[in-house]
Amino acid sequence: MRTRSQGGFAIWLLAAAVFGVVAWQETLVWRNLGEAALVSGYALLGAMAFLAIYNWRKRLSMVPVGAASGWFVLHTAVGILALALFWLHIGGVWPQGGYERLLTLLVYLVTATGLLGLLFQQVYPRRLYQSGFEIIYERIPAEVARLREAATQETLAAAEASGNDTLATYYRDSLHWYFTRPRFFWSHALGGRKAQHWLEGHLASVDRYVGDADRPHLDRLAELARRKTLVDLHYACQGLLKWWLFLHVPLAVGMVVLALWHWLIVHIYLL
Amino acid sequence: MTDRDAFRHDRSAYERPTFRYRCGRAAEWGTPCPRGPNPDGSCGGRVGCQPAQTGDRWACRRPKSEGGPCADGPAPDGTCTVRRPACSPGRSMRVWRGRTAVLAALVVVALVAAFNPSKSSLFEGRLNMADPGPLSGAHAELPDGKGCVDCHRAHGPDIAGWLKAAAAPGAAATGCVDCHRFGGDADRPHNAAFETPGGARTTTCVMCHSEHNGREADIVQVADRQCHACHEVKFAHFDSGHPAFGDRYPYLSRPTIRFDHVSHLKKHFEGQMAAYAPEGCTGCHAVDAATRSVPAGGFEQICASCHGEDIDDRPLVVLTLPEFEEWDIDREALLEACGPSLAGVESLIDGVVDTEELLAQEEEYEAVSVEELGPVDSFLFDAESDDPDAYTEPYLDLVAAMTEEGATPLADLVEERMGDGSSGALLAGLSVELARRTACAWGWNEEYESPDDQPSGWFADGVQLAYRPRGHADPVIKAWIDASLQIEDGEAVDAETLTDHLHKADGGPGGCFACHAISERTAGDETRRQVDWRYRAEKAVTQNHYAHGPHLQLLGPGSLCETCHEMDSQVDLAASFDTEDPMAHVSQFKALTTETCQACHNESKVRQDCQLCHRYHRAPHFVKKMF
Repeated sequence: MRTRSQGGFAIWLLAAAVFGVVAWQETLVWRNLGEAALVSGYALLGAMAFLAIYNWRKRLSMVPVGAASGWFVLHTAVGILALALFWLHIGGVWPQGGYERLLTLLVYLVTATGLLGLLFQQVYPRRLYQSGFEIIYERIPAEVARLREAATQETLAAAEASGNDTLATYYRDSLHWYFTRPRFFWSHALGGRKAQHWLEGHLASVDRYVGDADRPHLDRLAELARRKTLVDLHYACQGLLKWWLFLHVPLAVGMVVLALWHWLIVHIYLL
Repeated sequence: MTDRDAFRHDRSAYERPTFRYRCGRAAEWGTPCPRGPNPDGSCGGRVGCQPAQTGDRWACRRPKSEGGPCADGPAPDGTCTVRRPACSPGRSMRVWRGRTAVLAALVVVALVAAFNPSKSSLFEGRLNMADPGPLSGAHAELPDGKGCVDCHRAHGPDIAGWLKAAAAPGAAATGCVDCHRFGGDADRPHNAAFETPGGARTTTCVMCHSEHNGREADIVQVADRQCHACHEVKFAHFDSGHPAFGDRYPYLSRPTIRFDHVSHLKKHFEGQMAAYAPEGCTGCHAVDAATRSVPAGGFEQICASCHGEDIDDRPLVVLTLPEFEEWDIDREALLEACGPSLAGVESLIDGVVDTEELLAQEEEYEAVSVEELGPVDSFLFDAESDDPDAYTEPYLDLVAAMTEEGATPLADLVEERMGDGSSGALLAGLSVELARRTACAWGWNEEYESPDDQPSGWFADGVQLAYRPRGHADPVIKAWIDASLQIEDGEAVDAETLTDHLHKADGGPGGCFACHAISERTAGDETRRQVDWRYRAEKAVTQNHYAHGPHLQLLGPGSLCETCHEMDSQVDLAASFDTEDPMAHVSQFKALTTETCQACHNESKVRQDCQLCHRYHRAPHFVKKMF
């Protein structure tokens, strides 16, 4: 752990050093009446290319090019470095040109979504670990279906065993909705306990009407419902860990395309 | 809590998140098919397995995770007997993310295509995918009004040429010189205002001027440090390391007027003259007209009250009747042209002789003048002033011709000696009658007696035909002096005598050289001698800028002149005018030092950037189309 921390620090230090070198080099070129922005511009282009490599690194996981955690820190550090280089490049935080403003907006959105992803990476894995439950995201539909089927079977078994429809009615009116699909997405995503409160409230409301014959079945239903709550937690957290890329990646692609256009414009009109 | 066995290889299917399709049942939160979709996107869960044929028998291949081989087994034709309704597989998350990314790229490409530079109507609008920002205020309204192509040659409807420009360097700034011109090459350092070291870089406008930074952007200002890109002497600020001005700065050449500041300020206006003393520097120098220099008032304004008569008292003698060896002149022609001489008229009136006897008289020649030739006529006749053999015949021929034609023969002689077309200025105002009467008197070997006393202009008196200046800047005197500068040394016998006479500082015609001086100046490959007739400000070096105005008003006009211009009373001003080289001089003012300027222009007081005093461009100006 200590080595990983030191490695991460070294990467951030390296990113700061790269920024310092680029800034100094740009100053030298500026003093020498050269096109100083080219220095930060090409450094920025290089940083973007490196950031794009991260996506390929994830796809080519069989290639031994270092640990994913190291690449993640590199991607984060170079992303922040790219933002600093961008500010250096435009000499401020908001340019004057129309399409440059669009490009800047994309840069900020890509950075913002990247930071959002970083936040998710810091929060959700820990929360999932603390839940004490593990499930692969792609298996959640199957697990939801399995839990729903088990709850249905449990309800039928209760009706057969006790001869009354208390649990069956309760299941039809309340838990069936709950077991149909993941629920309370945003509550889980934001760390709320709305699902637990809803579930415990409903379980408590039926508890007084359940006889001794139905009670084991109710307990079993409650266990399945609580497991479903954990599945929902995983669905929300893991989903956000994947879905934020729906913002980050397309925005990044759009930004790169516009950056290439910017490169072309510069070479046509300035150089 | 976690049932790890639930995902054992024999109890659950292997998830493939990188597949392009996902089970349609799972998408609706149902129980997914164990095998999932086929690679082509069709449902893979319609049958339980793909039975395998071994010999003539079919065997069930349902995996353990799905319950193992089924009880019914495959049908005789080898099809699976476990049938399920097909689902409609959907695209996987990865596919949708990829599609979104492609869509984002297409949106950007569409924006570029819709608002690309070649579509001029849109290009000039706000949505412009090549607009790098508003131009500065000065360039907001370009004269050609064609938009980007005014400056950027690459810009235009030809997309091929537009793309070609991307690989052709130097496309930028080519339009700048359509409007901006300089006193030298636009792409040479400082517009080639001075010699640059070998291998000096080619400059472009965009090195210093960065456009498209908004209406309020200052595109002229250049940081001090950027000047050091070329300048070898590097320093942080003016008050820390700026090279010394030089031993004679700013008095690099002598003043155009030989005006002794020391004597005028410290000697001439002492005692009784103190009442006439000028009010310090501003008594003569026009503060209101102060720019780089503070010009002094004209002669009439500040000099004439004391020195006006010094000009009038110094006439230019053009002809002096000399003593001849013999008096060989056609008396008959003289009598016909001029009538008899004064003495002859008296004899005729007294009846002593008649006309024929008068002409027949053979008087012994007794010269009325004992003079030698003057400097001017000595040059005109190309004869030594004391050599009658050389000048007698041409002089008497001139006199004889003048008796008939007035000033014309003299003008012809002047033209011959001083150059074609020169007589108009050199003899301007010389009347035919004055020339003829003077010649007539001299033809009869008599002194000319002027009927009136001419205060100025051409006059003849006794044995001289001369010109008296009509005040300061007299055109005839100036014409003679200017013409004298065209005479080559050794061109005439007495050329040097003439030039010495005309250029004499003390007593020369008009007294011009009491104040003015001849300077030898080089312009390009040509070196010319010229009289500094007019006040000429210190040669303006376009790269250096100084304005007296703001400095003069600091504590009131003229209050601080001596702060910078400290007189050196030990300097002999006249010595600086003994030579025609204006640079070989010692000023009456001590050289300005950087310390003097740094007293105010430093980090804590007044601005001290390079551009305050130095201008990069040489003689910048606009082309006519700007107006």
